[in-house]
Amino acid sequence: MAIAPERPHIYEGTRIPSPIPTVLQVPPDLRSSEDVLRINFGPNHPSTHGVLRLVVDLHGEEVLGLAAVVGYLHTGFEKNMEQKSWWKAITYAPRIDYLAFQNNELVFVLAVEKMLGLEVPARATWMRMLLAELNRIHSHLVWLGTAALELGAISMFWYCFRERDRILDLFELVAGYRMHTRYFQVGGLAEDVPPGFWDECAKFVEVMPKAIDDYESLVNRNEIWLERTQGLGLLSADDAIALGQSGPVLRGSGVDWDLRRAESYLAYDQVDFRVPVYQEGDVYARYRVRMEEMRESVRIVDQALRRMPGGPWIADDRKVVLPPREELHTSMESLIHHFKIVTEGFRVPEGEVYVAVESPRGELGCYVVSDGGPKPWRVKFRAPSFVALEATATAMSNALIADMIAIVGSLDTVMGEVDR
Amino acid sequence: MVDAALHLRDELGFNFLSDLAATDYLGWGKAGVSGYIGTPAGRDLNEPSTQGYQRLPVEKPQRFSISYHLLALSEGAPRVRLQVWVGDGQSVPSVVGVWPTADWFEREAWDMFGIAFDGHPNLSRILMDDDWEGHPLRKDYPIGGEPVRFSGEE
Repeated sequence: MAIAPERPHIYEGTRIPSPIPTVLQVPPDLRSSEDVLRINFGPNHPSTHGVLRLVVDLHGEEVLGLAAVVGYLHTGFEKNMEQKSWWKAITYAPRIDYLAFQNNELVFVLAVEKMLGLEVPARATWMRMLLAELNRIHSHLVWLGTAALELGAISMFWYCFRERDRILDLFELVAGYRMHTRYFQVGGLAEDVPPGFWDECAKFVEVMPKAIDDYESLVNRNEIWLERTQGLGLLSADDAIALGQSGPVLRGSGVDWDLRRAESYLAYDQVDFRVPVYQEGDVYARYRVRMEEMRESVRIVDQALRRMPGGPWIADDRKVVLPPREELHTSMESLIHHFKIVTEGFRVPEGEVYVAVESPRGELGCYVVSDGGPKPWRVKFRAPSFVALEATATAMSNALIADMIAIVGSLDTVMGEVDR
Repeated sequence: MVDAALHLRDELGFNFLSDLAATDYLGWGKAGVSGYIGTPAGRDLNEPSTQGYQRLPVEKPQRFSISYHLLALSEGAPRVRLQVWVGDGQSVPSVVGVWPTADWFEREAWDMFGIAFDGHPNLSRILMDDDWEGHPLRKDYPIGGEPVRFSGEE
């Protein structure tokens, strides 16, 4: 496993700008030059994946200075979650990152379960893993489609969204919603998996590897694609670690690190998958990592389908989990429990916890503080997109304006998650 | 504080700052807490679950806490939480020089909680507007209290 070498001073030999690591400043001798043009790129621009604003200093086509401005999509999720009872707050989590919704749900639910010390049944664990991996494919497909679209490959967009729609259909089948499923409940799943899901999912597992072959045959040796991705947006392994990058960006920089393997949550230690790592640290490496991750995710889904355990899909703890509907008609105690959980919400013991999962964008962490009451005291999401944007200044040094699109795209940021 | 951070990074190998989370503990424990009794290992199922006030949460030394969640990219993925306690109006040394990724995290903590970081190269608001008043994630910041512009009434 790769371990970053010792580095006495953070700014020695790195490309991270100084003194502000996230702002690229125009060299002093060009500051008064009239040839340097400052433009606003965004916040409303089709290739900023939402509302990212980049203040760019241009010298001809060359990017000399760059500062990312975020916050246009700030909706106060964390403040809102403090006002809701624990189980209602789950609804907010998926909306933070609208492409990796199930991973967001998962991390919040895992954090609450860790505080409760709740045992989750095996079926729920495996099903969560299956959906999290489908969600990873979904997120990477949207990334691939839009990133290619920005570089002019419109057909990729249609192909990717064709498969994306199949995944959304699966989500609809299992949870009733295409996006923001809120299917993970504290203790397990909100409902059992409907019987028709397995066949449909197996069909998808069969189709998807061929679809990935299609994508790769479209762009892998495409001259334009290679020209516009190779050698651009360089991020060395040391810089990536210092800038807190995670997920495909980190693995594209040659750091062999995946929380699914390193910290093995859910049932990832029981399935066989490979962690793709590329050394180049450029846009192309990140693209390759994501493509191979999709293949690995399909393999994990396949294994989960074959080995899905039976049994209960939610924990049997009446203080936390809603009792089965039919019991409400016959059991007074169930009715009381149901009433208490629905009106007041369950209580979580006092304490604080930080849980991290590997979302499609990298380390998605959730820090939760409880005072023992029915509402969270504090919820903080460690958003991988937020951190990824910190790398724009480093990756963009010596870039041209046209490359900027490819580089920002390759970091795969979701602005909902950045601004929360 | 910065020495401790450098020690953690260079001697103990915590080279990756996962997260920096500030928390406001204003009003902590004032409401009293009912419900079942939690233990460090989680819930104790043998304890009766009663309603009514049972015990208060442990008092906190200062109003704000800042939690640095550190990760070592090595076998076993060890994690460590470094926690600093800050009173209202006090400031903390910045760790941008130790982990550059702290840049935006510290700006976010300043924006949301009003905790100043000494030595931060660019401590400005990040999520809210530059001219925003107040720090939204503070417990005394009202919800739904902001005036609505363009409401139709002049």
